[in-house]
Amino acid sequence: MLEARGLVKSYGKALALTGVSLEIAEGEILAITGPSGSGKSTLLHCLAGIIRPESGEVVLDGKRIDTLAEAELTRLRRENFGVVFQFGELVPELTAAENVALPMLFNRRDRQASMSVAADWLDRLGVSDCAGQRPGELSGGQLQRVAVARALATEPRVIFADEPTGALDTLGGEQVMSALLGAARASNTAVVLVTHDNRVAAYADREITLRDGAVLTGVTP
Amino acid sequence: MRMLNRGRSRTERVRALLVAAGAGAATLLICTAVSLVDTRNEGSSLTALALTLLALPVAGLVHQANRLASATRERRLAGLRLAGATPRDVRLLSALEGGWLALSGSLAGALIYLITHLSGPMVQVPVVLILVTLSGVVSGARAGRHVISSPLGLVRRSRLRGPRKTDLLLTVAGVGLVVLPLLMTKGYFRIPVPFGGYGLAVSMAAGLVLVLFGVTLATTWLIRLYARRAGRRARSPEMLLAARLVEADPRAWARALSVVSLTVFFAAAAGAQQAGVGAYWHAHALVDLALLVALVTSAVALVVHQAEELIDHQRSFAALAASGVPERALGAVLVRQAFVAALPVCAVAALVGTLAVILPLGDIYQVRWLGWAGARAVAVAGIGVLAAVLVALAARPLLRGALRLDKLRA
Repeated sequence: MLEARGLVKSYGKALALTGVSLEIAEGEILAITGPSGSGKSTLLHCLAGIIRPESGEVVLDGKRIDTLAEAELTRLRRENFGVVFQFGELVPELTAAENVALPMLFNRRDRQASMSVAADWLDRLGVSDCAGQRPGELSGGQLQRVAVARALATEPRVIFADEPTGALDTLGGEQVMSALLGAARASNTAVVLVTHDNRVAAYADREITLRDGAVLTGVTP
Repeated sequence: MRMLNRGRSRTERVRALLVAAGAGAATLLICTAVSLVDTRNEGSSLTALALTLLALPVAGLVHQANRLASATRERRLAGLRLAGATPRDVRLLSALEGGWLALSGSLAGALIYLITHLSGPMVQVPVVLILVTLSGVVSGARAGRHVISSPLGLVRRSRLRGPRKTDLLLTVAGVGLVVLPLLMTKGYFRIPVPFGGYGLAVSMAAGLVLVLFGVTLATTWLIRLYARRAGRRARSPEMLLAARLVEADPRAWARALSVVSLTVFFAAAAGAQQAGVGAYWHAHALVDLALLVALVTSAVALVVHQAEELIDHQRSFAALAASGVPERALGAVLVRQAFVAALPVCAVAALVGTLAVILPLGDIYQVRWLGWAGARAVAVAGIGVLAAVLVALAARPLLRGALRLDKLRA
């Protein structure tokens, strides 16, 4: 479904990706691991269409997306992808429910319907009692589960999660991973997971390791 | 001071020049205004009032330049904290820098006044010089107040959220200072006004200043109330986000819009007064020019505020952009924020400004003048809102910078 072909990306003189190729199937959970600075996040951002590679191709359903115009790429991201960041990155001024409803509202869905879907997702992720609270009032685990709900609410085809448990303790991390992967599997959503934690990578169907911007190994746990 | 000056960037040098130039202009305007005050000549006094009004936005510009500086100085301030300076030391350094720049500019302004008014009054020059320098010190200290530089080098903006009851107290105290002496002169308390006519004038002037500051700060309540209502009724995500952002930090908006609201207030009041008075057109034109300059200068405050807003929200905005929210939609959020905050402030300022002239004149204010006064009030309120919206539109290049994904990699 989603494919990277020979991706190259650099920041100044530092080469972040040196010709990475990989393929992600429908509903697959893929973990990208590796040490700091190995290019994990850069690869994730290239796959998600957030940054463009200098050379190589990113292909979704047989169509190149790295050459799309910015407006088209933005729409594609909004309709097909969901993103979960290490610190959630919710809007602090909105309630948890409003945060989850926001991407649907930007998809021009009705406010009442969006809030209803948001309440449903918060319930599925076990944080329905936080619906009226603002991010500042939530624990790290709750906040991240709300972020997962926000990413899943638009029913994307792929979720990109950049160190989703990086800011959580072991128990909180497990809860978030269970919630994310449980919901993703139930809706046949693919997940691309960047982590340097082997326990988190163990949740995935497949794991690839990057080092110095190149794929070192590809294993199936 | 030497430590703070070390490693100044080009932006900071420009900013220092702005502060000094602003202080110089303010000194020149106030000194000239004082020299024109003549109680026997109404036209001359109106010109003096216009010049004083012109000095207000210039003083606002100096403060905004100081505030802008606090953002660019953050790294160096954090470095000083790491080297062992306390938050108080850092604040003191900011105050000293503000004062020093104001003094340099003010000296230049005073020199120009002395050269151009060799035969005019000189007594006000040292007083104005001291006042402008002190204003620079206060502005410098206050500009750094919202920046906490931790010894780890991380810098966070501490935000003042929500309205305070003291804002209303300031207004009440101001009204008391205006009304009480008036009632005393009419014999309501059987106690004479202390120091007679002079005491009445001082009390009323102080009262009016307090009312102006109090009302400006009290707009925080108004902004929050309107933003809450707008958020509840929002149909689009842009309006929802904008209303919630304004509701969460109405005080910052009230501060940023203070010069706009004062300008609208004075413009509406001037309009109501001009409707009934045909003479002194040159003085009226100068007052209008002063108000126009004030409005343009207030745009600087709004630009600074927009920049601060974007710094505060760059992570969540960058995350939304990464999730597929178009930059255009986030730009629309900025515009709606400005609209939600400016609309109630400008509407109330225009109404109060008009009533402030019409009500005291009571019976002698003719009904046929009301049309002009009302039209002018609506127009100036509209111009105030439009100015805020235009600044938000102009802030879009700043938004583009804030949406860069590297903002999320911290």
